[in-house]
Amino acid sequence: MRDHSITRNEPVPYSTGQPLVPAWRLLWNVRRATLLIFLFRSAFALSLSLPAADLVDISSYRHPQASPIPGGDALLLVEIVREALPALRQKALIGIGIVLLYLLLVPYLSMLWLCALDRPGPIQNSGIEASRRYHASFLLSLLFLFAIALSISASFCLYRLLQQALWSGCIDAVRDLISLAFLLPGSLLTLFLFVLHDLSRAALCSEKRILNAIRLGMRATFRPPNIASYLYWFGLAALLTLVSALVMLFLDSGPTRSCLTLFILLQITALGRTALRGRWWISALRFIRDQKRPNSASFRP
Amino acid sequence: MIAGYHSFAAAAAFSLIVGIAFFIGTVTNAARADGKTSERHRYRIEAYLDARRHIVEATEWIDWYNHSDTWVNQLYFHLYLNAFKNDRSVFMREQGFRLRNQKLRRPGRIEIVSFQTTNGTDLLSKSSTDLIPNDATQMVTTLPRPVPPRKTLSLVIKFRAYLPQLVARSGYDREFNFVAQWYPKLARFCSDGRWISFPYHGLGEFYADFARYQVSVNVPSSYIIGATGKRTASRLEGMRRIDTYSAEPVHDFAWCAYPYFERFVFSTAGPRVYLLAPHGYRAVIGHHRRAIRAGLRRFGRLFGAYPYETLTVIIPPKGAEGARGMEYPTLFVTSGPWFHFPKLRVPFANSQTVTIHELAHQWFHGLIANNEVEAPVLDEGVAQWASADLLRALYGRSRSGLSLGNLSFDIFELIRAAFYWKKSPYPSSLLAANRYSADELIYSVYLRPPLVFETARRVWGKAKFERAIGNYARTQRFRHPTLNDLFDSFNRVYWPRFARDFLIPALTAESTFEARITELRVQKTEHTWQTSLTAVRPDRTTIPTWIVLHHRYGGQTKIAWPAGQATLKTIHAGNREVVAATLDPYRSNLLDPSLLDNNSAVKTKTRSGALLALLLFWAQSFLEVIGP
Repeated sequence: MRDHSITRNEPVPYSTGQPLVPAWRLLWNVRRATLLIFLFRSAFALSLSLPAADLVDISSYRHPQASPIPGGDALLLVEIVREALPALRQKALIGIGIVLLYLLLVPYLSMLWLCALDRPGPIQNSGIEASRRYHASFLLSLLFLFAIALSISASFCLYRLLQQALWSGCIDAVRDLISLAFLLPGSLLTLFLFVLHDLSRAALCSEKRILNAIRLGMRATFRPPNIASYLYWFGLAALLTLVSALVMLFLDSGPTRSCLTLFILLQITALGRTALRGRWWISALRFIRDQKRPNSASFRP
Repeated sequence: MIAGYHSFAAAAAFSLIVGIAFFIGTVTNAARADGKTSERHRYRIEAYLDARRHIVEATEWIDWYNHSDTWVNQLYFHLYLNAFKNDRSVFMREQGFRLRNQKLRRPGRIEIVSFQTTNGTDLLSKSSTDLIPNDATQMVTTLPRPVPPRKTLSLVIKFRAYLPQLVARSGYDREFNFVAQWYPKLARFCSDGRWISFPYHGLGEFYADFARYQVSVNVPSSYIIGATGKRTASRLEGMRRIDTYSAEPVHDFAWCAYPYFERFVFSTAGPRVYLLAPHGYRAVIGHHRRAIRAGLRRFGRLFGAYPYETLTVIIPPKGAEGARGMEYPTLFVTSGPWFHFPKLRVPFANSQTVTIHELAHQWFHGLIANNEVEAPVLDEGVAQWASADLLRALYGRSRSGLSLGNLSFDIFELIRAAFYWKKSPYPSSLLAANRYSADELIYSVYLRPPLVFETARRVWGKAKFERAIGNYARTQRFRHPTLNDLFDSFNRVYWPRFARDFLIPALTAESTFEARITELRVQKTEHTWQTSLTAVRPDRTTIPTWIVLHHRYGGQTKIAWPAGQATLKTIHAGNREVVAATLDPYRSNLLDPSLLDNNSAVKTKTRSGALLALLLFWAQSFLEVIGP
């Protein structure tokens, strides 16, 4: 009966019994879309970082051979920011504008990427598909943004309430730890919402209606292995960032010529994280497919 | 009577004319041979804490000694707990009806039940608290007969102190009771027969004569007490305990009672230290102890040894934050969390910083008791410098403010950055406390003075500065110094007009001490490199400094720029190319509002590649979090 309802809803090529392409190969097959996402994000990042670099570039105020201020060199930044505050305000507004524009494009970009991963083919097709689903994706993201904000503020309120309400004479450490422990359900809820957001977006590739997508996403999110998979890929990306940050510290103390090395390292890290994100999207799409085809294994990191 | 300071010359003159009054009973001869000690007023208080209702019922005996040469017919008292009576008091109005970001929900007050001389003459009917409309924090009492010079007047006051909800300094939070400014205390009486009295201000509460205190505190037996002075007796009476404390010479007495304190006692080269902390703070005790030991040692060396036998340090429990960060004679309340990370020191999250600052107040103004309302710079400003100096002694100059891996800040550079963050000019640091807004008070009293003192120390040397401030602290111990006493001490050590030439212009912000490099040009002649440098100091007041020329491939040339020279034009010829110049390379002048014009490079890179790479990466990371 379920299979019948799926075919009635919308045809899903990979859910009709075709053999699954290995995930990394699939990611390689859609490398153009992945690279496009990376480049697009980098272009926005560059437009944010260029004015910031102009503002806080300490080397334009201090020659590298000038003797350091003991414990005060970094505070020169404060001075630079203070001096540049009027310009900073203006550039901050531009930055906010850039971020808002990026946020408006995010639903489109995510659908483009997901459609490309779901139905590999010419990127134009994915683009057309993404533009059809933009409205739904936008509304979905807005809904989740609201839910996540609500969840975070509820956790914070609970923490504050507990701090006030816990009995007198209670050891401060115990009171703080209990209050912190009560942040855990809120954090878990927020994590759940993040996963649900991703899975609902993945479901939007095969579902026209937002509610259906959320329902599918919800069913997928309620399977602990799927959340474990999210944490796995997220953890790998975080680990990659941590490793590059450690290498960066080492490079930072080296000679100035390590600048290019630093740039390459950081960009490889950023690209690697994009690939890991893409890999998670493939898993997410398969989890949704599994929801439409019961009795299949879930956790395939 | 007008608010603020009250001159009683007229009353004294009248007293002298009328002058043949005989005090029998209430006035006793106090001119004993032991000099100053016998001339101190004496307070004896028996207090009973109703821990459930947070009321202190007490009887107070005061022996007030007229150490002036005039006849005195009025007494001035401080009833500072009345600041919490309603939101119309001077204190509440000054604080904007919110104290330390909390609104006062349960008020507090002092109720005087009876007030008489020891021979039974009622004085309550002759007392008035209407010195300032809507403020009952001062009381004036007209005596039936004036007190002759060198005589003592004995008084008995029965009162009830209703503790307010703890929002600032005094009050209670659940079982925690902090009992400060809780008893009728005599205002400061000068040897010329004047009284100096003022209402309870945000930054003025202690100014009073040094006196002898003996206070018995009756609390439920489960309560642990921290109090000014030394515990001289303790006895149990049923379910209650009565502890007696003595302190001399001090200008105030405060105490606190809480059943969930853990008491840590440790010895130092000087006093015995009692550290009272709520349960669960064991991890930070060592941290506080190190700061206290180092502070007692360093402050003792700089300002003279701590003279009392005990020092009590209190960490208030959560919810009682209103009491924290406050000093009392031989007692202070610090703050900080129950945990700390040994490798991480961030000033705003550091428990040691508050401990050190409040410890510095044991000298300024626990021992050197200036008028905090008239010249807050003498206590808060000097204590702020002293605490920053101690942090430097503990952690080294470059790590004194913050230490986070490779990132470190000098505490004075941090204070400077905070002070100059806003470009708006702040008023002189030599004004009375009640003339500042809350914001101005932070900048003018807490931030500028340490920068001025530290600039003096860095420019003219540590030895001179320490001698000047040390002389001031030692000579003014148990006195009530004014700004002139501080300036005189500096004038004696530096040069006779040092205060006029540097301290006053710096503290009043008359001078900005700005200096900048306006031009750096390098030309290659046949065999040499010729560098012409111009630097200017637009201000009238200048201080000596250095300029360093940096050569390509290392090496530098130092040029002295003496005080009094507004413009420096110099041509340097040598066989090595100069690539940059730095004005004040050792960061002696902390008063220069801008550091950016202190550096000049012949060729500057317009953008650092490494910085751009980093910013790009973090922007990508941010967009990745919010993006697809």
